[in-house]
Amino acid sequence: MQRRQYSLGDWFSNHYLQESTIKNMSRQFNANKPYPHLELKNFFREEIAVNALKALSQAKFSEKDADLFHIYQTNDISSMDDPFLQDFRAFFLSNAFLSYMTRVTGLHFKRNKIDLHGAIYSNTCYLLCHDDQLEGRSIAFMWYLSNLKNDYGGSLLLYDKKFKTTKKIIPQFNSFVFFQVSPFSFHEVEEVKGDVQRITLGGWLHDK
Amino acid sequence: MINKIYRLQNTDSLAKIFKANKKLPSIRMPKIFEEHFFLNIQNEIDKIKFKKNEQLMEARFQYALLPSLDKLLNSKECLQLFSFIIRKKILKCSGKLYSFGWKDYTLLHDEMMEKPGYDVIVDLSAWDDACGGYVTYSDGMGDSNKLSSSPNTLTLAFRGKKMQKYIKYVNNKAGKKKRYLYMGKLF
Repeated sequence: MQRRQYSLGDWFSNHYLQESTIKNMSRQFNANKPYPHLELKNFFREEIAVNALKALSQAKFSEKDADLFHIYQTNDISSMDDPFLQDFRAFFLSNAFLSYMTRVTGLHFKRNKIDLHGAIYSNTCYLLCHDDQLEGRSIAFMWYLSNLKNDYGGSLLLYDKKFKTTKKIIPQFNSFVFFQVSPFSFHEVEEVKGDVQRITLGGWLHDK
Repeated sequence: MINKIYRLQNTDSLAKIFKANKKLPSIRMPKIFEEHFFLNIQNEIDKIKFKKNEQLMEARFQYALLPSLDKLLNSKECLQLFSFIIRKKILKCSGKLYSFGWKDYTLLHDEMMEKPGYDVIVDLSAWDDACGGYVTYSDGMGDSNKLSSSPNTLTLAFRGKKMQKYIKYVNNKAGKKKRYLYMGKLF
């Protein structure tokens, strides 16, 4: 069966297709502290972000509660029927997307494996500090589909090796954030406070 | 200072309750202390200076010694009661007072597993479980046992090989409230 050909221009905002932007992103990814990461605002075309949010609004979220976290999460998108989410997943597994990510990060990815799920953090939801390390995980990514003001929590905190916060990323609609997974990629999601929701599509790309 | 109901009760029935839960042999003993003793402990806690423990990947809480409760739990009366319930000679109870407020927690760690043993947990404050902060026993395979909060309640539990406990993250609903727990081990 032939794989569908995807064009980056159908998904990304024009700015992120420019050669100079890609080169700059690549430099920035490796230079960013405390470990390689990028926060790309308005990364996807706006209609794509709106469609993603619509698709997630129909999805079933289950409560996940343990010592480390309290969140609401969908099953992996691969097991869901929504056509948009299936297409989005297929795009993330396409040569076009993975080659783009290789150019930006310098890393090479498995072409047939991705973890992808929707997540909602509502009042009191949190994810405590951890490193995300699990065999094969190369890049952790999250696409924010809601806006949160600083006071409402829900920010992604990146820690250095001494566990000092060196980066705080506040959720902004249509920001795409990713970082390299390593034994030192310590991070957490601040507890959400108040009547707001932190909505994301996120997951991991895997080592080739 | 142990409530009369436990002094007079047939310890066989308490021992049966303890053994009944195969996964987590345990018993919860509400109104464990006479009211005046419990109030005195609460007053004592109000004056205690706590030390901080903050290790992001492990735990965040405050702790202190609580000599009056240590003394009572190591009294002949208490050690005898514990011995009758768990059917094993208990010589000593060793523990600390823990304070959990907003953003406090403990985490489970594969590298820091507690050895099997007998836990004593005394709930020393009124608390709403919606704020988190509850003690949870977990076998790491999806089975867990949450201890609901109940002031002036003593819990005895046997932690088997894979069973570990953690304190659930205390969320923003707690505001400035603190949850006080005495947690120790029997030897």
